[in-house]
Amino acid sequence: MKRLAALACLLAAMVAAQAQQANRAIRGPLPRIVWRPPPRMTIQDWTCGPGGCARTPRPPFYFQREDTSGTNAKMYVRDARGRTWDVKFGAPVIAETFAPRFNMALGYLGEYTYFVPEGKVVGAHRLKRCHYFVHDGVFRRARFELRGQKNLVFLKNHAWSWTNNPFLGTPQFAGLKIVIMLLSDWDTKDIRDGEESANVGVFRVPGLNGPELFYGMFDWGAALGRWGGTLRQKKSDCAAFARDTPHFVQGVRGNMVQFGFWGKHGEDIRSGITVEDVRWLLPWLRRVTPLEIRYALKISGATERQAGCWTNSIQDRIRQLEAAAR
Amino acid sequence: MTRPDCLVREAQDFTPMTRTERWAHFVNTIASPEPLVYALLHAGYNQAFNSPREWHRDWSGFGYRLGDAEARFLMQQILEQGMAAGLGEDNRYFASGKTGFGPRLEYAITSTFLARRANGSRGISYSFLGGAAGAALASRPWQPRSTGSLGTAAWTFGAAIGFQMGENVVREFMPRLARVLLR
Repeated sequence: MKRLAALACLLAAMVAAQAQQANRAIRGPLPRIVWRPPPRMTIQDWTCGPGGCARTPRPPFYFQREDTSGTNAKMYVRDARGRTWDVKFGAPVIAETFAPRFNMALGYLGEYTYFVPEGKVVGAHRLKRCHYFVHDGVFRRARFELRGQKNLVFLKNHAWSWTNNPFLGTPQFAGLKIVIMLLSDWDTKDIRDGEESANVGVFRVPGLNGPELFYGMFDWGAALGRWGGTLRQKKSDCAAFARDTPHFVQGVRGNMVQFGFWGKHGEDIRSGITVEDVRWLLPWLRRVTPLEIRYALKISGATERQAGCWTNSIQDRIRQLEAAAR
Repeated sequence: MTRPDCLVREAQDFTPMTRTERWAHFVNTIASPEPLVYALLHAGYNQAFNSPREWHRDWSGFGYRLGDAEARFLMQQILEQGMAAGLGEDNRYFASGKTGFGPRLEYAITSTFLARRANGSRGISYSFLGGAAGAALASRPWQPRSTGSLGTAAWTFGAAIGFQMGENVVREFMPRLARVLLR
């Protein structure tokens, strides 16, 4: 009798294990992507970015806390709809608003960011770094980034490395590296710099057949300035960006395109890019018109002159890519 | 081709510096040719007028004067950029973007006394004035008797302001002048 019971238990366990395995097979691991075919960008897409116009920040804003991590002045606020926003001031504002729109147009990951020219934060007090930018609650020129969205879930402890990820050797991944260099984003820290410092990560996003894991860069605050090490690098400086432009593509050696870019893990970013990779990216880059770039920059807080200069430089860099791909 | 006017940093391009950029700016200023130019001009002027006379008008005297000016410049930078970080001031020069000789000259001269705040507004540059005054006073102990007075310190303070003013004028007009000359 005891033997019979033990056999029955064993059978039940085997059936349960089988069912669990089958269940896992149905669900399977989530598909991993670093690029998806971009939409045809409308004026609304450029204006509101990946977050869409429905998510635009709504005043009044209520102070939650100041975030003193990193090097920039930033704070968390809640808006009229109860949504939480990470608000940044200063140098990264334009780049962090523009880059997600530009990435969206090219098929890469873009966070939900918006430029707010001015506003008031109710209850902002005892500010440390932010007190230079917020006086009596009033602020000018801020980048609002939406937090806690189920359509764009940041997965903690999923930072990856430029030299070790599922997309090595693909033109889509090489394309991401080209975009980083195109925008001169020198702050390309990855998992090797620590989970907390890494500017690359994975987001869970809805796809056509269920959720997907979207790999990408998520902090573009260092873009649109001057690439380089600590003493050279600059954020959001169109004159410095223009001065680096003639050195963007240095030439083609064999089948590999050589770039002048320099930044964190710069060698990993600029190496391994073939002429074919550039050819793959170019049609997507060509879809973005100078007028659209200029408009996106102005929406992101750039002045007329800055927008003109950055657009001019980006176009110049794209022409260098075209010459390399010939 | 990149538009030539894009290569100049104009007032409307202003974005505040991050902490790292402040450090980089400080190190780059110290390591740039600016301290040497300042020291050479200052030492040359004092050599010509044999001031202070205790250092004599020979190579050794020129060396003293050069070292004196270098040390004062370094001290001024430490004081100025330290205060600027604390007060949230930005003393970098941004070209005016204006047209006409008069308005541009006026902008360059007034910029000597003004600093930008993080929100882009301009106000009195306490860090520059404080740094220049502090360095002028702090350099008294190693001066010989004839230039150790407060009166000479005031003259040194004025010279630092004059040098900065001249530098601003060069920065305002030089890029366009260079373009015309190189055309």
